[in-house]
This record gives sequence, C-alpha cells and structure tokens, in this order.
Amino acid sequence: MIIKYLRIAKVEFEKTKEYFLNFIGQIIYLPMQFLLIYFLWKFVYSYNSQIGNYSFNDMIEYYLILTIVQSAIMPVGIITYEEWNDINQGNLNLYLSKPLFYPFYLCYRKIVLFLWNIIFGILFLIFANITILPWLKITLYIYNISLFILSSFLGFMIMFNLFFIVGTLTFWVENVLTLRDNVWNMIKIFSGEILPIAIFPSFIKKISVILPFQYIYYTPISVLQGKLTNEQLLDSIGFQIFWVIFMSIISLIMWKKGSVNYTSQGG
Amino acid sequence: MIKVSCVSKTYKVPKKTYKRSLKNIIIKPYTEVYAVNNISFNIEEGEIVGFVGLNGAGKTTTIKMLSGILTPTNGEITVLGYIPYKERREYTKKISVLMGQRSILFYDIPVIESLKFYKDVYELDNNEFKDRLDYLSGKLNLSSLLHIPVRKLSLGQRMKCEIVASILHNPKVIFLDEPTLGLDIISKQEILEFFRYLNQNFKTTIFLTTHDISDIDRFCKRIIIIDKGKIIYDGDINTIKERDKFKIVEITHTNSFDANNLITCNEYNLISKEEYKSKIRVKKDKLNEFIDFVLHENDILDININTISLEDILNGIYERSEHD
Repeated sequence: MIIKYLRIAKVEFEKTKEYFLNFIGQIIYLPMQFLLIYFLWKFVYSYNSQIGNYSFNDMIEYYLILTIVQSAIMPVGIITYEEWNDINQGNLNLYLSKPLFYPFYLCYRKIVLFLWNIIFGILFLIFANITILPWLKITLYIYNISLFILSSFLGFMIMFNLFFIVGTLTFWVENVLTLRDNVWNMIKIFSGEILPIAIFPSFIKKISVILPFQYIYYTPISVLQGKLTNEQLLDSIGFQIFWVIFMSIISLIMWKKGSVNYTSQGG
Repeated sequence: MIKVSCVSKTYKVPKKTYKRSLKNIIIKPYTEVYAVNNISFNIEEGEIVGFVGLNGAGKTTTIKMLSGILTPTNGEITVLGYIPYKERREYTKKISVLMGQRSILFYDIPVIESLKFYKDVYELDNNEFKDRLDYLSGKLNLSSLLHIPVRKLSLGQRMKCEIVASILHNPKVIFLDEPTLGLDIISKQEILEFFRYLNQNFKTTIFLTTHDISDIDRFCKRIIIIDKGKIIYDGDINTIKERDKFKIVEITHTNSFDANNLITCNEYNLISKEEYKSKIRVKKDKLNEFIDFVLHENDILDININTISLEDILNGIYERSEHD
C-alpha cells in the first residue's frame, strides 16, 4: 500500500527535472535568504551586544537554522488552499474515485519536499560550518542532526495538520482562506518564526507553552542549537508527538465527517 | 450488477429571502433541493447504458453517487456487491470513472510517469502493467506519446492517455461522464469504438452520460432519461425513437407555400415550419401516399426523407415533461 505513496516522490522528482531552472533557483534561495538576515541583524547588533540571552552569533545561528527548517516545512502552507480549491472546484472527485486516501496523498507530496529540502539544508549547513562561517560553531554530530531531523519532521506534521484541519472546514464553510491567514499570523508570532520565543515578554512565553505553534520552528531550532537540557529535550519532543497524534486524530475525524458532506460542485 | 433503489440526493441552497436576525447572520438559513429524486434502476453485466438529461437534471450527481464520490441522502446503491460510498477503497479498484472535463494525468511530466503512478495506485505488478500497457497503447495507437509531457498533447491525444490510465486495472464497470466533450469527430469515433470493443470482448459494463445525443444514438442500446431529478424513461433506444413507425419528411418550398395544407389526416404532423422549409412527421405506412400527394404541389422544390433523430424525440419528451 505504501508503494503508491512512495511513487509520489518519483512524480515530484520528475516535476523538478521538467523545470530545472526553477530547481536551480531553489538551490540559490537559501544562501540569498541567509545573506539578507545576516545584514539585518548585523545592523541591529551594532547597537546591542546581547538581546535576551542571544548573542549576535546565537541569533545568526538561529536564523540560519530557521531558514533551513522553513524551507522544509513551508511547502505545507499551501495545503489549505489546495484542499479548499479541490473541494470547491470538484477536483476531489478524481481522488475519491480512486483507491487513494486524499489526506495521505497530500501529506506524502509534502513529505517528499520536506525530505528534499531538509537534506539539502543540512548539507548547506555543514558546508557553511566548515567554510565560510566557522565561527558559528554549531556542533554537528549524527546524534543531534538525527534529533533535529526528527524534531523538524514532527514540526512539519503539526503544521500539516493545522492547515489540513482549516482546509477540511471547506466542507462546511465555503471560504476558509481568511481563517488560514489568521492561522498564519498566529504561527508567525508563537512559533518563533519572527523572533526566538525566549526573547519575547513572559506572557507570550506562557501562552506559547499551551499552544502547538512553538513546536513547529522553535523546538527543532533549539534542538540543533543545543539550547535544551536532556530533560527539556525529552519534554519538547514528547509534546511534539502528543500534538501530532492529537491533531492527526482531529484531522481524520473531520475528514471522515466532511467527505460525507461533500457536494462536489462544478460538474 | 448495478442496483439503484429509491435513491435521492438533496443539496442545501441558501434561502434568497429570510428574516434578519443575529441567528440568521451567524448560520444562514437554507432550503433543501432535490438533485435526484427517488430514482431506481438495475443494470446487468455487459450492458451499455446511456444516461441522458439536460443541464442540472441530475446526471452527474447520479454518476457521482454510483462511483462512491457522493453519499446518497436516501435509498440504496450497490455496484458489484459493494456499497460505493461505504467501501470506497476496495470498490474503486474494480471500477473506473472517466470525467471528460477533468484530467487524472500529471500535467508537467511525461505520460508514462502518470501511468506508473496509477500502476501503483491499482497495485499492479510489473508484468501485468507491461502487458496491459502494450495492449492498450497498441489498441489506441499511442506508443509514441508515452514520453511526451501531458501539457504538450492535443485534447484527443490526452483523452486517449486518460483512458489508458483509467482502465489499466481492467475494471468491470466504467462510468463515463461526458467523455467526448470538446473532441473532434475522428477522436470521438475512435474513443467510442474503443469502449464498444471493451464491452464486446470483456463484457465491461458501461454507463455513459453525455450532452451529445449522437454518441448515445450510435453507442447505446438502452437509454435512461432523467429530468429534474426524476427518471422519465428507461428502456430500449429504438422503442423510444419509434424508428420503425415514423419518418421525417423535410420539404423545401417557396415563400408563399403554407405547409399546413399538407396536413390532411391524423397520420401527418407538422413538426416545424420556417419561411422556406417545413418538417412533417409521417407514419411509415402512409409515406408513399404522402410523397405522391406532395409531388403534385408546384410550390415544393425539394424533398428529403429521414429517420427521426433521437434529438427530436428527446425534445418532445422534455416538452411533455414540462407540461406535466
């Protein structure tokens, strides 16, 4: 059964081959993105030597890793739109009339991009660590890289489920894109995508503990930066697993209920 | 093989006028309309059935319920012993759904990659896939297209590839929803002939909806007509056409001629009347008498004798249904 979903990886790879120029664009995206962040924080740190418990080096490290995690997780952001479009345009018919499970199909397509981008990102990190940015001193052992990949994957699954749940609401509410935009903003604030959560005021830190968002970006970055004690590491990954299971159950229940409600518009 | 019993499907449509209140702002009031209303029919193995109706009559809703995409509001459907919407995963391995206006191929990459994807979706082994692909691509003459990206194919070529992807798994039942939409006459002919071949050689049951009445006329022995969600005819296509009983006589005449003068008895019916042309339906056993009569009219310039078209018959049925 799994083979058909693995085949999706091949299809995505073939698409990349068809648009080779786009692929080259993706390769140079990471260094370009990082360069912008570097100059921005260089300017900010010219007035302060320390922000919260983040030195300039810590901050650059944070955003370097964030850029990599973002490139792997971000493709999931389009899930709500794809689902909304498939339900409203009636393209869902094609998946429902085949022995395919649509939520898995969507998820596997994005997993392929996740693996592709995280592997490329780690290679870039290793290259950067030993060549142009040796002063960053990110310790890269197989152990912490493996934990980083695991934590990033769990972050990916949390984000997938969030956007999938919003997309599934299309079965009941015709336009979910505004809600999607609000979820985007929540993610931006509480996931560590704009700033590390550790430098936020304490009330935001308290709120973010009970929300799933910080486990998307902040946790995987902290894992690789070595900012967590063993106990915190276990707790964080444990919470990530909890959120993935909890949200996957919600996703599947909503999908089951919603697909019965499906009215297949558009002929 | 296909059993449809007292099936209805309703949709929620927002009410056009309603009392303004907080409750109604939060949850908009709606009414339920029937897309399909209490329909029943059975289809045996190896039948080709044409499912005909005007836009919004309930054709596509029915085909979607039969293929497991939609859940009926009331009634029971079984196809090949499965309840489509409940046993979707197993059921969809045995059937195929081809929708003329939607593509199941990956747009950006060569056709063969999509076919390999569907090989895995339908869990075919490599030998099975190779045999089936050789056979189908030979039959539809598309071996040279397999390595071309889908976006570079013409509509006719793409449709043939869609067919191969849809029937790789040798389905027992094929649901065709407007499969010839937008195709030229040659491609349309080739595709319908191919489905006829499958039906004759593999006893594949085919359920076809189309706007193109000529497709139904050439392809189907049985026709089901649906109008406003209700079945108004289910039976042999020749019976409905009364092909053996009547002929259509098309007369070209001068401007001053009044075609009503030709209607001298109950066996002649004036169907349409234009400035220079009139159509008259004549009982077949009265045809000689009628032609003899017409030939003596000086204002008549030309005569054509045709079999009644299915389109004319359907128009008549829809008009009668409208009055009822």
